[in-house]
Amino acid sequence: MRVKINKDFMKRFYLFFTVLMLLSAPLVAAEKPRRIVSIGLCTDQLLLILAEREQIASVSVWALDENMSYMIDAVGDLPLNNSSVEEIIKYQPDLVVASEYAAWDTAKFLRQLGYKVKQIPLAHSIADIYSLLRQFGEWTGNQQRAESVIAQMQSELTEIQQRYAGRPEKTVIVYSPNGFTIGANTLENDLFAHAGYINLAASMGIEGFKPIALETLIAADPDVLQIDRNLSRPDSLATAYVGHPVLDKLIEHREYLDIPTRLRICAGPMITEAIEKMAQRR
Amino acid sequence: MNIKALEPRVLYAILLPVLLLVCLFALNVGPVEIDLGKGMRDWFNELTTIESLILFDIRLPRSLLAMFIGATLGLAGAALQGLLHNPLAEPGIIGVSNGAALGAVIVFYYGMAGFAWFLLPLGGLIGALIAVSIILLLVGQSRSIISLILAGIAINSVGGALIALALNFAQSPYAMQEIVFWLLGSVANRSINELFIALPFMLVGWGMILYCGRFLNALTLGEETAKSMGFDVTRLRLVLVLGVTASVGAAVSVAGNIGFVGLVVPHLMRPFVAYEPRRLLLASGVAGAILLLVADIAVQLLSSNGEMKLGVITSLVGAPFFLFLILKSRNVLQ
Amino acid sequence: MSLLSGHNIDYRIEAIRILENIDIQVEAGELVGLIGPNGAGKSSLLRLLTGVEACTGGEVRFEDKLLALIPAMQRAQRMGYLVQGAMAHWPFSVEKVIELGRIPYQKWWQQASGEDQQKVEAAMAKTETLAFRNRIVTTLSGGEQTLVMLARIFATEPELIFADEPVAALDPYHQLHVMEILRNHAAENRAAIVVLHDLSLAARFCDRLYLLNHGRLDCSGSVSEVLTRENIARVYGVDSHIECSEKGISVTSLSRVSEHHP
Repeated sequence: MRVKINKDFMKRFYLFFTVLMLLSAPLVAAEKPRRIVSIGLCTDQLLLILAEREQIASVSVWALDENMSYMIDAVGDLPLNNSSVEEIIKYQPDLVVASEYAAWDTAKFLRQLGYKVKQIPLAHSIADIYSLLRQFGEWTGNQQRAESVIAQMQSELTEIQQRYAGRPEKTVIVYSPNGFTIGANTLENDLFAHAGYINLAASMGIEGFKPIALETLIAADPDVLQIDRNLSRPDSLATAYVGHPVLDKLIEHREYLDIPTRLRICAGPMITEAIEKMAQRR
Repeated sequence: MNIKALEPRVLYAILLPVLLLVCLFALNVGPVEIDLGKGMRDWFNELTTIESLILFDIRLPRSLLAMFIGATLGLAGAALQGLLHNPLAEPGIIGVSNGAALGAVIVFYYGMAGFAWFLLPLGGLIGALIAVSIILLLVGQSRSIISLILAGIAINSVGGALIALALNFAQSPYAMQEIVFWLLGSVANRSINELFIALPFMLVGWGMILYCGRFLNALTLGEETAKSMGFDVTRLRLVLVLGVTASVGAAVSVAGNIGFVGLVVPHLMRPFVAYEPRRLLLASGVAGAILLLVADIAVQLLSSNGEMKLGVITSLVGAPFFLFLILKSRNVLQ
Repeated sequence: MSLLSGHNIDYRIEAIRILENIDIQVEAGELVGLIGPNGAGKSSLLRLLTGVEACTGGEVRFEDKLLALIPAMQRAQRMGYLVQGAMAHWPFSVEKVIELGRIPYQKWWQQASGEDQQKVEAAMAKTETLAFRNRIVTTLSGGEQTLVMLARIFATEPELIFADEPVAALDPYHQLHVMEILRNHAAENRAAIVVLHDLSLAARFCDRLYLLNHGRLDCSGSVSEVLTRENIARVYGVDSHIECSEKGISVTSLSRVSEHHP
């Protein structure tokens, strides 16, 4: 009698379990995409940090840029794409990730073709980065990993602030190609704040990425200068802005911040390294 | 309206102080208000302060560059008008400036400029030389004013298209949007380095042009008479063309194509030098320096963030002037 | 030693022979005339003699030195060339144009000196152009402009003056005036060589004539030797009447010779 009841029960159990699995299969599949394509530098980083390697179908060519890509060593032999629609379709992705502020034509086109496209917004602060990481974790089915990355960031930041609390605050201005500076309401500005710097561009009322006259920069008399010179880019008039000899003179008498671009250009955990480097120079 | 000619002493006694005054005014113009006096004192005492940096590293190079380029364009315009017997000739209109810009663009954006200081202005010179050669080929022996203008239109169109093409294929992602600089010209954000690069070629070019002053005077009597007065017409024509292409090539290679200065300035100065081509050369040089400096001051006062290109102002003034000249010489055109 | 001499002059442009086997001499004190029909090569010969153009064959000598070996500036100082139809196109003052004649004596950085001023004044006096020294040259009549151009040449103080049809478009008054000036210049132990169409003028003012035809020298010599009815008929294809009087020789064209092919 006992054997008969067990078998019956087990059969039903197995049946129930199978039906349950079958029913929940689409949910599982929806939660964890298997062929993700990233078509921008910053989504490349997030993908390489948060997702499992088997989930990644392709990252953009920017992922191999020495100056811009933090996760360059993690790329390995992953296929690269040039962000063109034809290439992306080739991978038959179940999820395409891109930035909101770039490639919107491509994103729109892909949506029209029926592909699932998720775009990350521009981060204006470190808090934005946390919510961005969470969102990305959700899209790619790696929520737990996202939470642990956030937790680590928070503890690192606290530790950095404590370590360098004794040092005085310093003023800083950024100067990039075409004479652009970085003002209030930007991620970099928040990084400066966390690293113990006052961004003079923000103090002047500049918001976002705006050009600044070289004279104004000099007159502002910052303690520290951050000049985006280390670009693997070839000659252009834009890069000539940051090559102006007066900046060399200025650097002679000031501190010069040279935080690698790859640490501060994308939203992600690498910004803590950037903040550490900045705080060190105070 | 009869403008009386002035003796050289009188003319330069007026022009040179004006140049100096305008230069001082230009040094006082900029996005930041500084005390000029303090800036100069600091520089003399070898102190690096905000004032001295702004004055000597930003404003002075810019103003000097504007002066030298203005002088070059004025001089080249006077030379071309004398050589081609054409009141509408100037480096921009006949396509020399665009040729120079093309040469400079190819050298700059394709990584050649860094090897030696002279490669950039040399690129401008070669580009200008090719443009002039094509012009002279197209125009031939014709003395017609129209044919020169038409040839210039052709060269300008082709040159502009080639510049766009070269920028399109350039490595730098900024290249394409920088076409505005090359076609309209600007001295903003240029440093003393640009001045040093361009100066040697400009000075040599000026020397060659001024050397041909007497020749231009003799040429007013006709080519044969000039020959009989001891001038090797072919050789001196070449010297003049080389002088124009060297100086304009260098100027354009660091500041882009600033148009119409070479057209307007000689016309303004001609009555004051009694129409003598030789005297016109130097007078146009000085007047050109003043004019471009004034234009640069205007650019800085009119646009809050220095985005307006110098060529916009010179075109706004020069293009109507050009039209007026065409209308005035309608009866002279065949 | 002749002031200017040409031996065996040959001149070709591509395959076309312009001048062949010309011998010519100009002595100090002479006014020499080059005459001949249109296209005979008179202007070309003049250009070769000034050194503005180089001969294909033969040689030109100035005071027995090869013309080609004399530096251009020296040539410019000793020879003055009045081109055909010399008109001013630039609105200079008359004085300014004449001052251009001093260019062969100035270095490229120099301005006009006091000595230059004197020469210009003398030139204006010689050509009687002092009266309109301040007028704009383009407002003058053809005859007046020719005088100004001559004055420009005189400012250079050359020994030898070359003039290519200087009186072609002038009224009788200015024709005589210009020829007199050239005559006077030659008389001062210098020389002038002039291309002329007007045979009467040539007869009246020239010491010797060279008659060119189809690029060759037909004949040369004194006025009476060259200007004969036969020569004129053969070369110009015109039957003429030549009259000698104490006023001079005049040549009048009567009718065209029917078998003549120019």
